[in-house]
Amino acid sequence: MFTRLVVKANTYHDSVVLMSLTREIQRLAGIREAQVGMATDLNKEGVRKIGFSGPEVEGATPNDLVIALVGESEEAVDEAEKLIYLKLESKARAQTAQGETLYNSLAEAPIQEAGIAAISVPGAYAAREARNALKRGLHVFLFSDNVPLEDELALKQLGQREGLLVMGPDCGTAVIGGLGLGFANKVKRGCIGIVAASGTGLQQVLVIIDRLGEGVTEAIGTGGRDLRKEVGGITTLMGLELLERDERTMVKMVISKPPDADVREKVLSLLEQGSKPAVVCFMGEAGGKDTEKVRFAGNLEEAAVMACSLAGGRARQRLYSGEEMEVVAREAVDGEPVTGHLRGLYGGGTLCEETLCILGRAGLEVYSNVAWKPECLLADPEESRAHTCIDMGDDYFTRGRPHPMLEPGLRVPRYLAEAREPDVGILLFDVVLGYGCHPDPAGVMAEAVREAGNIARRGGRKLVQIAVLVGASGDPQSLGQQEKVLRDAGAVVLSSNYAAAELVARILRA
Amino acid sequence: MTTVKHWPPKGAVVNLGSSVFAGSMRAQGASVYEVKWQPPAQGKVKLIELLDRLAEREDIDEANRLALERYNSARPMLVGLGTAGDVIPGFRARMLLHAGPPITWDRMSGPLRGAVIGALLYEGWAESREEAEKLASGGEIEYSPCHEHSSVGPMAGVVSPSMPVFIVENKTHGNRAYCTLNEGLGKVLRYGAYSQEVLERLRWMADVLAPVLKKAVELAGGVDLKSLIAQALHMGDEVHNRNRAATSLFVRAIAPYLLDTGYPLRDIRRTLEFVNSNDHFFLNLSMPSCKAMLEAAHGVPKSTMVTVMTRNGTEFGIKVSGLGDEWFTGPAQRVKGLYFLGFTDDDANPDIGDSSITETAGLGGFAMAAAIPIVQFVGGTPEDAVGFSRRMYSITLQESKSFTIPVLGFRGTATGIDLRKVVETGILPQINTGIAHKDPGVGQVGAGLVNPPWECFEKALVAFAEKYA
Amino acid sequence: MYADDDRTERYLSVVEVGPDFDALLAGEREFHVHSVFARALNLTDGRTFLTMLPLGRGCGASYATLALAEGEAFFRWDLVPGLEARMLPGKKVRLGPRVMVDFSRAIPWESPLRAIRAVPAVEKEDMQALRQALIDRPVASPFQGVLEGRKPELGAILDRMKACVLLRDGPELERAIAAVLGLGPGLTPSGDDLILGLCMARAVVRTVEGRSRGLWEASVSRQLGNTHALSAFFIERALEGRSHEVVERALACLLACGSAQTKVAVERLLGVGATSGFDIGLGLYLALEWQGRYDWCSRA
Repeated sequence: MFTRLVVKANTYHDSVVLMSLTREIQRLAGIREAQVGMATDLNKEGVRKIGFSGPEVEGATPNDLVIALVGESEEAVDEAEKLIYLKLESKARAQTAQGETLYNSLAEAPIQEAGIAAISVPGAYAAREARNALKRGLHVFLFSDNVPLEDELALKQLGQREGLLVMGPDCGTAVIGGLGLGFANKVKRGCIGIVAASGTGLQQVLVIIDRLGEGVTEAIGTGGRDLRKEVGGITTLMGLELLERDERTMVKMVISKPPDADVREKVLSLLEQGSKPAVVCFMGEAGGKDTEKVRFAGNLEEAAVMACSLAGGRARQRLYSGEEMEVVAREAVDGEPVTGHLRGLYGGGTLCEETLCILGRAGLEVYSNVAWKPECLLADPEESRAHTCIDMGDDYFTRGRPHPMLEPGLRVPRYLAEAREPDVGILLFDVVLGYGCHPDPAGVMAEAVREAGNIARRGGRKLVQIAVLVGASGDPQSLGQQEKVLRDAGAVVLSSNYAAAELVARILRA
Repeated sequence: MTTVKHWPPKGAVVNLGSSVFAGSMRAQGASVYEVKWQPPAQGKVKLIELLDRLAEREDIDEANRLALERYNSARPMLVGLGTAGDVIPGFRARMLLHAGPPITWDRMSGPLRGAVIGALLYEGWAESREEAEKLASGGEIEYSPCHEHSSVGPMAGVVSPSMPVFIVENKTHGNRAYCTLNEGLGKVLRYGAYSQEVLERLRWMADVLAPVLKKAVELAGGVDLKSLIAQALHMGDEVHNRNRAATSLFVRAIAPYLLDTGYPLRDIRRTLEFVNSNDHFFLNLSMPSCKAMLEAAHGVPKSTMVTVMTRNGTEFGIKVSGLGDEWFTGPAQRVKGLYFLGFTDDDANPDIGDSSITETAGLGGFAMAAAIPIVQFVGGTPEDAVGFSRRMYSITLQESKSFTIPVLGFRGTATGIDLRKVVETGILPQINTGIAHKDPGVGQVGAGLVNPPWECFEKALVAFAEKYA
Repeated sequence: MYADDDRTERYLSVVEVGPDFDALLAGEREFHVHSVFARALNLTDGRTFLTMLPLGRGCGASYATLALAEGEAFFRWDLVPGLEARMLPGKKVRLGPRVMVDFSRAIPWESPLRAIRAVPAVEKEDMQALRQALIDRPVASPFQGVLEGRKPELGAILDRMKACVLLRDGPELERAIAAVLGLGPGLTPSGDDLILGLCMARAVVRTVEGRSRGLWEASVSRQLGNTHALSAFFIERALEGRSHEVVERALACLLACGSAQTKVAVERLLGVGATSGFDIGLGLYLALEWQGRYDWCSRA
């Protein structure tokens, strides 16, 4: 039996903390008895009870910390003692870490210095907080979803009266004055101003603009319902007016699902009246009739490329040429045609929808939990069939759990379940980088890719795994490293969702 | 078409919700004010609606200003001592006062029952414990809360007609508050002890201590308790669980006059020794001071200020300035704290006593940052003590003009609990308190931290909305 | 990878989960953290142990795998021994203030041994390959070199183990087991891992043949009090024919014969831990080798 007694003079710790720490230490493997406490009479009695005595115990005062350990081995006692110090130290650190910048309510924060309220509280309470923020003169970035449509309208009308922007609800991304809000990529400043109704759609456009060497002034999010009839595009119109006035903005962009007809008309006529050229991407629409001021893009990559061409005054190319795609497809397939089905698991809802559109245009039926065509809607989001793409950021999957952009690991069980299906030949997924996103999303998915590869090998099957990597070179996760990790695990990595969808179409049609 | 104003927005961002986003904005170099967001009103939709109806109401704000003004301008002075039955208003024959909201014998906890038995023996209304119990449960004795008689009592808070009491007068508004004299620690009536030793001490207090002190106080022309409390806060007291400095200051204030009382030196010496040897003697002066100030603020129509928080060992009750005499109650809570040698959680009675009047007045737990050594007594760390006091600013109407905390840069203590803010933030008032043994007569077994039950505030808000929304 | 904000909660998704976790998820028994390593976390209720590993390190009956990136380590999130594992609604388990483990989407783990219905003679080629792999593996195990005859004392003890079973010599067998159990450093010493390998192979063979526990199993059981609780638990499970997936897969491949996967599975096993994989692999090899010659697993 090994014993140890340590008395630390004048070291005060909370007795409640010490009591629970004593219990934890007593449970350690190899520890028979433990007492950690201030040397009060009561605690000294406890120390005596487990066999310690002498002047060191008797002389200790209630200002001294006493650690008494009885263990089965020297190492066990060492370990326990080390753990005690570690825990007491981390407790002390946790207490000092709470700085003055934590407030208990919006009313307490020194809002005279602040311009924007970023709100990501549960949807049921979000409108109330947003209203309070607007009343205090703050622009609102409202990440929360599940906010009723009538609340959204009321908030936006209040913002309109006060001259304040309401970005959201369900707004994933914005870049205001160079500061990324929500999930946002680190992109260069430049002359393209964006209004976007979609978070990941905006992120895809931002990173391609950055990659092509251009930059943005402001990227204003609106939330997915802004261009609906009920809301009437309040935030979109306010944002476009702001970009029109903004001197640094040379090119305007609008990204959204197809809007309500009246709202569409309002947005387009505002753009026509403006002094600056504009690129519009109403996803799902094949494009539109270009005018002198307004050009239509058929997908996110194309929209970004068009905006960069206008901004830089010279024509830019798509990220991957036809020949490059040919090579990528050939290498991915490696000689044998792929006969299995596609299973796509997205964290970014807009990217999922874009893939559905592109594959639909290529004549492929793809089932989904967010399909626009009712006949392609999955009856059960848990059960894939034939070609399927799932938006795992959809309410169904995120209720009571974080969004897969925060925790990409939430997709992994499903990913491997799909990999085990004998009729699956292609797995497709997105990895989204940026501030606010997971610190190492590629690292998490790479493990899944490797495991899926093992499963396919054991089953003697061919499995192509394609990753869409949405990231900018300035992102905190390190774009190059993330790409390498995915490639090393065996995935084909593309920087554009459009390109990835095209690759899928090529492989399936081959 | 509307133009966006306030553009470009000011640099700082207020973050409500995910701390991941707060962290990532900081990583980009932004200054972020992070609100530790909790669902308002514990997420209860109906209460949130009521809160919204009571928010930004100029009439309510005005009423609260008035109540606060009355609280701030109150000036409690110890003006003398008297016999409870003679001086306390509404004290009827065969009546006993007790701590907390109203209660009947059958629902009383151990220490309160013990104190009732002790008081019946002390008054000579019963000769033995058995007789006292029979009398106590027989329906003949009338029980009434101290608070309904401008009085307060620590722990069991039992007051019987012949006990001596301090008389504290609010010189500004003229209202008075009353409290018994502190008996010291160990086996004492307020913890439900009723042995011969306890009763003898009570008799000595009535026969010697009270007359001597009364004379000295009169000779001194009264003692300014408000300034004494303000000084004590700068000397490490929060005048609920730590009264060491205030007791010393009190002794300093009356000692010169004791010698002039003309009582035998022996009595004067015992009086001084008794007061001087009891660190908590001043508690029974800080409590009526707080009561005198808060009673001045009570009864302002439309005011949401909480003017009473108290416990009887079974229930916790509050009163609100704008809601008159109505009690709002919930179950008395378990105190989390440190126990004296040989006692554990199992021995503890639920929260008891009128002493939380100090917290109601912005002292006690609300001023814990002034009394950092107290953590060795009630548990927690120095950082906790500062944190508790700081957090109370989120639920109060103002910072005290009279009581300040050195370590917070002489910031006034959080004062005037706003019913609306408690419900909105879900932050409950922080109370420092002693822990009584659940059995009568054992005494204090520890000290610790406790909060009121949430129900009190929820019920009060609903009643307030019914009346004024 | 960029640094986590200190306050950030980690929400970990369980990918595969073994049946033993039912005890935790049903909330019937109270578990707490037993030990924390960079890439493994053990829970215990005092009797049984449940282990969480990153995906890719394999599952098992008493294991769960988590979706973690390569650089993520359990001890980064204030996880320390003694923390309570608190069951929450929706099949979630809270571990300390910063970690939530979500079991709700986990795939039930299936043993690779479930397909083994009969025990054929293990292919010579496979046995030769396993032997060579063991010989080629440079590890710091006390059993390193035993196959080449470089450790005569240990070799003699192993021979006694073999012989005592065949001779049904209980007391001597137990002495041999005692001499090996606890040999080497760590929570699962080399000697324990070797015994585990022997037990595992025997258990699978005996299950297929419909045999109950024999002299060997009883002897091992009696000696388990003399080693670490965690190690004893792993051996107990091996006596029931259950172990970590990597062990089970290697054994399944060897028994399924001539599988193209055998080499991969054996390599994977030998790569486990500093010495564990080697020692378990050696145990499997010896048991199958003795089985081939003397029906060792089926006897006593």
